[in-house]
Amino acid sequence: MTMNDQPGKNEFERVCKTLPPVEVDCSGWESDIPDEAWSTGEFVSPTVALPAVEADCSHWLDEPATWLELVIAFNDHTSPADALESTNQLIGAVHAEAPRLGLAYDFRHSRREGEDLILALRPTGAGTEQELRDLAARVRLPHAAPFKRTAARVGHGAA
Amino acid sequence: MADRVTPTVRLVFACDKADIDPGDQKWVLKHPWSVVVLPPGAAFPFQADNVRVYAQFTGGVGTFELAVELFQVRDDDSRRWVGRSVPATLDFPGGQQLLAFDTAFQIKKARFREPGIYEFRATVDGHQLEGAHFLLRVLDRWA
Repeated sequence: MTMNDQPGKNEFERVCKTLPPVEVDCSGWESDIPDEAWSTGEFVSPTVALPAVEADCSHWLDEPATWLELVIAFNDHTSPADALESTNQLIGAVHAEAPRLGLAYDFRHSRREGEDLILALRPTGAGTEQELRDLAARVRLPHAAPFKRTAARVGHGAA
Repeated sequence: MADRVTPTVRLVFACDKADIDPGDQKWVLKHPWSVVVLPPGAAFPFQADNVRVYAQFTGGVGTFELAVELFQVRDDDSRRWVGRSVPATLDFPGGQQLLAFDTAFQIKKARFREPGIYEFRATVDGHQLEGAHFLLRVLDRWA
């Protein structure tokens, strides 16, 4: 089945008003060259029509099977500003460690566990679950203040 | 609400054919252009019998004198003005800024004096509209 054979339901309806064509005669342009000097005809567009590219996006909002979890605890009396800045730096460093995974903040799985903050980062790019595991094993997380404790692990969705 | 709001060009490009389908009164476009070559036996300076430029506008309120201008793009990215069409009057009713209005300029005898890049711009009342414009590379032959 080609794209053009898809059933019409669930398709966008275009909101547009068709205006009549506007005819333009340009024969007076570039008049410094005499009319008889102009070669005439129709342009040829030498493109090659490739087959349509189908993209199934139905899984875009699916629950991810696995994600990276950063476990963070802050020292007592850490200011909110320090906590936010350090967390941002941490996420940036982890993302830079494996850019092809396209790690993005996962608000559904980010949570609090006791005094630990669990930051979930969901892969949105290429990569396998094993790459996520490798990243969790190798990524070097800061342990100095304002962090009391940091760790990386892989979280799992319901099977 | 303002009496007059200048529209924005959302889409503009040339193509092989642009016709209104009599069945649903919508534009049917064939084979959008990015590069064109002269037909066999032709040479510069070249006058194209027909160039069809589809354009879609949104956000306008009021009546405007709509035209299309052609520029030759020089190597230093400056423009050499080639010509401007006779303006056509286009009315954008109030309260319909989200509605797209589309038309096609059926440009006859457009002149291209040498190979290079040419730019089509939509203008109203002599001023270039914000939004899209169209660059066409014109070659004398396909390599």
